[in-house]
Amino acid sequence: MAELARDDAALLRAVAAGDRDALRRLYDLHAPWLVLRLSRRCNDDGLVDEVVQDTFLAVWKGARRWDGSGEPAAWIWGIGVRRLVDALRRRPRPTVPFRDVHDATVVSAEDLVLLGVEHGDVGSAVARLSPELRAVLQATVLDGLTTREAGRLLGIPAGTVKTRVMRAKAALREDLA
Amino acid sequence: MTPPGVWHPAEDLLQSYVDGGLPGLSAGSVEAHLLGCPACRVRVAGGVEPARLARVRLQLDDRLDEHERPWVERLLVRCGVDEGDARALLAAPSLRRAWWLAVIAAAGLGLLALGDSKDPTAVFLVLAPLVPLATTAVAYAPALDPAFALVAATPYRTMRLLLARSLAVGATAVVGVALAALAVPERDLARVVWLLPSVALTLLVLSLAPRLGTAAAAWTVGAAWILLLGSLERRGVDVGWIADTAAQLAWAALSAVALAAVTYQWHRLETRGIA
Repeated sequence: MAELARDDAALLRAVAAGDRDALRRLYDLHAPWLVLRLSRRCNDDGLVDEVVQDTFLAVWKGARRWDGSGEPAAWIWGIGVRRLVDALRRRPRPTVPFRDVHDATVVSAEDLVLLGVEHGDVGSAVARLSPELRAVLQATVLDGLTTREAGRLLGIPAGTVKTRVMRAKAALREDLA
Repeated sequence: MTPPGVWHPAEDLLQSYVDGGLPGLSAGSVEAHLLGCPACRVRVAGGVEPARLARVRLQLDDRLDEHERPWVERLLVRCGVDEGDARALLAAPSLRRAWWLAVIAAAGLGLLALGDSKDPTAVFLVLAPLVPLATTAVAYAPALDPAFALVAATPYRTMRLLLARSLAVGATAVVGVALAALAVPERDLARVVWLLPSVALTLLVLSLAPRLGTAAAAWTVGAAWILLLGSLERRGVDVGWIADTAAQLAWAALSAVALAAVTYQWHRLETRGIA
């Protein structure tokens, strides 16, 4: 597995050096999960395809800007989700950004799962949040978006995102106290 | 099925994520895990139709081609120039040289017209038509183009290439000379009358090129122009005659004849193959 990860890094470096084959390889490795993950945030397949193209085009142009230390997949996701935000802003609505707002949630990730919180305190606390609060937590905490970007993704003002994040955190704190 | 390691989502968990039915908290865990786990990324890859991935990949390839194209070429293609033509137009180093020649020669002309020689306008009139002519010749000079052997061996039509490049470079030269002509005093007709002789001479070169070769054609036409002006000068005719209506009409007629000749050659070579 470590070998595969090093592969990603090597591929990105090759892409930075202008190797089109390396980009194709990178696409084959990363386009599938990117399509799946973007599809959970946008139900317009055509738009998702466009965003995937935008993302790899940006990877091609900007591979040199990858600092070489982080996880390449996370870097690619960072680009992808921002492209999605941009695309949704350019083509506002009929697109429903979330397939199901009630499902689109989550505070945290693998480490929480490792601790078995899915059915534990944090999990149920998050599940008790209102859908609006869970959505902003997902966009800011899990997708790593800024408040402004999260606002664009959800179609609400940045100020609203900020207050909802604060309310969500306060609710969690209270619930877990 | 599950790869070794600390923790990997079980098969059914992964499957319901792929199907889009996994509720938020679990889906978020899977997503976070996927970012760091190449093995599980491979496991979910089958969840996207291969045809869809292939289609997006093809479109991506097109956009990368588009992106890699030099901006001039992109501009030409956007203006409706055939993609192959645009590439062939810009590929040759001789063409770049011709462009530089056009720019430098035009700039020199401008300086001359500004300069304090005895009759700057006359000098401008004599030299101006030679700029498009010379750049056109350079644009398609086999001797100057290292890629010529390669180009000649391709199925790309030589005559088409010759005309396309000449047009491109000639247009640049004409624009350059037109800018240089701004240096000519405002009321002076020399500002505009160089255009028709330039067109006529350049078309003459193009019509002779298939027979004589580009360089020989350019030298011949250029020399004829200088000889014509020289002999008239010796007989005391001022170079201003170019501005006469009759002379301009004659240049227009000559242009038309040369254009017809070029068109004829074009059709002949297009149908019969390359000389």
